[in-house]
Amino acid sequence: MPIIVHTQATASPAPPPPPPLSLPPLPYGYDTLEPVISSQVGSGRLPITAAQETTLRNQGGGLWNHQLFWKVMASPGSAPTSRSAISPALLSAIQRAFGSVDEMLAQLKGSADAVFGSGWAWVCVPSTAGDSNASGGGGGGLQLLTTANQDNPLMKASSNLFACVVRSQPCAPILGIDVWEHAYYLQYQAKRSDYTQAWQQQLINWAAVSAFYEAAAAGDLSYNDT
Amino acid sequence: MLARVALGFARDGQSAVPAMTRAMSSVKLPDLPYSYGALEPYISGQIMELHHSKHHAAYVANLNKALEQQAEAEHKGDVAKLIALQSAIKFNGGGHINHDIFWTNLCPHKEWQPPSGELKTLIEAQWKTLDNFTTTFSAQTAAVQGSGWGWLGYNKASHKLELVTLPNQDPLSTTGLVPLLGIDVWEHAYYLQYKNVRPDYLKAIWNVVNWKNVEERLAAAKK
Repeated sequence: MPIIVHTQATASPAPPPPPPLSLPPLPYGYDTLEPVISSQVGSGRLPITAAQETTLRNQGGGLWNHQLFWKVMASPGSAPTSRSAISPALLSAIQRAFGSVDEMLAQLKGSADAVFGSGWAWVCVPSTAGDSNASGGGGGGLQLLTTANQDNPLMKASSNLFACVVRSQPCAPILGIDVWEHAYYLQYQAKRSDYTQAWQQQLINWAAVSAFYEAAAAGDLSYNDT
Repeated sequence: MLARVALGFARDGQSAVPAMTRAMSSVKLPDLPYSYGALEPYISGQIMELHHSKHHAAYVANLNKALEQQAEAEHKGDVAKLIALQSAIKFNGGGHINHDIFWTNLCPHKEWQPPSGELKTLIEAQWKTLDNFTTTFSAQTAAVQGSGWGWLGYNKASHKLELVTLPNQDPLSTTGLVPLLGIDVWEHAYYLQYKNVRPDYLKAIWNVVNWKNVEERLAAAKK
């Protein structure tokens, strides 16, 4: 899901600012206002300053990440946290990539525990959505990776936008665990390992993760839009 | 060094490498120069105890482990392993260096004195007032994304003070500056007391900054 800085046309009264990460389409093509406003300006695909990029990356990333985080959790003992809530398609993908659900969770926990400083650990689906250079489909081959601070595996290098490369091949997270200290410190203090242990055993909303897998594997990255 | 080496071997039962081949002996967790509760109400005793006995202690333990593995890799000529160990040494070594400085940079409020002498002169030359200095330092440090530190450093080439922030446990030495005063803004440094309100922590901590220590570090840097 590319994050695009969008400038509003000035020819009409400014509508209210769009909600973050959910930009409404213009009611006309980007070249309609030429030559007064070039299609390059209208589309917002201008270089942004380093400071703007940093803010977008941190605040936008933080928003998207936490939005997903709340969705992939459910009350311990509730039906969606049962392993039986894992869809056949997701189970099959997990087994192909990791051997078993337990093995995937053990690796996720290991990665999460090893993050130095603030960051996240993710299970994600390699994405080709919006990538005109991609060869082959998204596949659905699950990957496990970690990111620092509020970076997100969907952030990819783009000549228009991020000067800093997060990943050259974006990966759509279907499951993520926050290991910033604020996520666990009040309860677990320095014992991040106890937090990740309890989290991956008891809190995962497998029904939601299954739905995200289905969407991401089909190239639909709107599953975390609101 | 030889006496230390012998002691090291006796202490580290699991060491696969005789201590005399190790480049350095084990790093030790320093004692705090005050009790855990001494910085109250500005930094809680609960935070100080966790920060010192768990976080700093973990950096020390993990640094020692990495150094052991490094000595073994060196012994075997395993360059790939040496390279693989570098980030662990930087993380944990930096964590140890930074906290080692941090504990000395703080003192109980009843011992607080404002900066004097050369330090006072330099601060006023560059920031006009102490207040302006602390406000600037706090604002920059509050803006650290994720985990990191705010530093006052001394530039030996320009003979000037500089304010810098660094991520994670990167030590100030990586910039060439001499560390004078560091403020930890990893969430573990303040969360139990200040929750997510990092600016409140950064305001409070100035009440327990040990300016005498900062002056001593400046004097040492200028030698």
